[in-house]
Amino acid sequence: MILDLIMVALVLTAVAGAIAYARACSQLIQDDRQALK
Amino acid sequence: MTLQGWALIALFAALVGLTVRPLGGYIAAIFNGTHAPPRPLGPLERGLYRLAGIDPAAEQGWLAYATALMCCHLAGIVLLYALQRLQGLLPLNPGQLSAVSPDLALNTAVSFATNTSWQSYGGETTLSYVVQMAGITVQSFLSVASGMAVAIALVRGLARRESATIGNFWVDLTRATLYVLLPICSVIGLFLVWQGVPQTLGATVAATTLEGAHQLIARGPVASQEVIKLMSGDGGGFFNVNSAHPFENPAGLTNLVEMLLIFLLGAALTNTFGRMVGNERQGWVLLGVMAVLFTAGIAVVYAAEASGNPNFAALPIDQTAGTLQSGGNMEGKEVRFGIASSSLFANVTTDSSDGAVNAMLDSYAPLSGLVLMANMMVDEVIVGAPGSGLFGILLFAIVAVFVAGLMVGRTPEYLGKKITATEVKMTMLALLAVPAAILGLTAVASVLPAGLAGLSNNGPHGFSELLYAYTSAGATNGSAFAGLSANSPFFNLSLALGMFIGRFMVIIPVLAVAGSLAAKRGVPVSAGTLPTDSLQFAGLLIGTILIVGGLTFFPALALGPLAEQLNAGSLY
Repeated sequence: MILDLIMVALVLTAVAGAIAYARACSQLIQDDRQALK
Repeated sequence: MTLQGWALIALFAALVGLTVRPLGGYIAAIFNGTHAPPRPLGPLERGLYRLAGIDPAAEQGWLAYATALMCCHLAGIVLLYALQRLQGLLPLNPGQLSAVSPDLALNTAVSFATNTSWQSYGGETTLSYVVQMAGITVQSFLSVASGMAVAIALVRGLARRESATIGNFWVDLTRATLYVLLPICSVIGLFLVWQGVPQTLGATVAATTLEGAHQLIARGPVASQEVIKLMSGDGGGFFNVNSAHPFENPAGLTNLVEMLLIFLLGAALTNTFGRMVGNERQGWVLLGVMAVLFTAGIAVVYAAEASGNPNFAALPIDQTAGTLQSGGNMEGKEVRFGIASSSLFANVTTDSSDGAVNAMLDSYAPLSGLVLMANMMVDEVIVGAPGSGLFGILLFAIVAVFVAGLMVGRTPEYLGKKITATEVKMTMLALLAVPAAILGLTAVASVLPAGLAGLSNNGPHGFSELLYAYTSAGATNGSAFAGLSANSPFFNLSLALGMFIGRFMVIIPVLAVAGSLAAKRGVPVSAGTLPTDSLQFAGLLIGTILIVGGLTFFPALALGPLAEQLNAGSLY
């Protein structure tokens, strides 16, 4: 059971990390657009 | 090599070519919404949207699209994990199989949600029918549908002008599943049943052989999983030996159909791309590049396998092809398929990200192993999995126009869009994610005792086993070199990490490129515009793919398969 919780926590962390990565990419795009203006 | 072998390869290529235009046009119409949904699928699609509370007319920006995709696969991973852990309590488990261990369950869940299908288990002895059907097969459908959705979103980004949206992920996912995948799987599934592939919920059969020995013959709902296994770029077999098993791949005809299924959608999507950007020649150029790289790969592998094992040269062993034997290197290959068909299957499966095998790749010549790894290392853009192959080669196209722009000192353009620093940064993030996962994890496994413990060979071949495993994971291929005992917590978790990075750390920047391009206004074609529907651009694109892939992976390949081939005393 503890191992199951660890595995699910790993997956949630990875997915949360991926979404944070997407947001960072979005921020980078906005910064680039601002720099071009 | 035989004329018959080359004829088979030519027939295969011709059949793939014949399907590209009609299927590509159909897929374009499905995603453009210009094809009337066939009954009863149209009402089913609308019913699904109502049930899930989705407004199909509401489009998403790239960030919302990416978030929806991640949520979809999070649910898929958790569901498949739970099914494996609870399979002992669930029905349709005639073999009374117990729960899968946590690390293996996680590896398998990530594997099928990422369209990889790496299998650290033997399907017939590990998973119950309910896990195979409701878990593995469902994830195979969803992972390929989401890959197609991402590719279509990128194509929309290229085709649209000053648009804040790139489509609706849920609509694209549903349409790909209902109108493309399900109809083909239904028809070909019945064909496979006709050819002898089992489709039953009955238990394992006990049989007595002619010698009087007792044997358990595994069976199950194989045909329904087999088609999507091949067509999705997933490749996860119902049985441990995958398409080398006569219940997955009973005959020469099914072998040909299975190879066609692997390339079917990936090749057709190049035409879909051409149609959606309003110039079919753009799609033919991409397909031509894929064809050139494919031909080079199969030529090397077929020649290496047909020439036999150089270590046998000094022994009284006849390796020449004749009327009574296929000749060449038959170790690990099915006699009913032979050298040409096995070499072709291995190339198709590594080109395409599928990962199904009809022979054991560990027994291929080292030079063949090098080519098979290289096929995956170039981001599987040689047809590739449905969707990921197309967006992969489009990333290389962006790099190619960027390089061409640098050479002439002009802002690069692709399909009427200026390629600026933003798109190049995102493209490089996507293209570097796979090598980072492959090389980083291989390096870690090469020095840790837990990594070395899984090897069954030392020296260059052992290194090749490790390199192949992480290449297969990072490139979301899923085929196994064999020879590596990968069902350990270290390999299960590290390979799962490789698969996660190789899938989602690529898809996210791809969607970012799509969003960034969609927002741009078009630029008119001028005398200085690089024509991207020309042979010249095809050559530039091939060079870009080979140089980026070669520079990144050559040192690792030199330590593994290249060193092993040279140790054998001959290149062939």
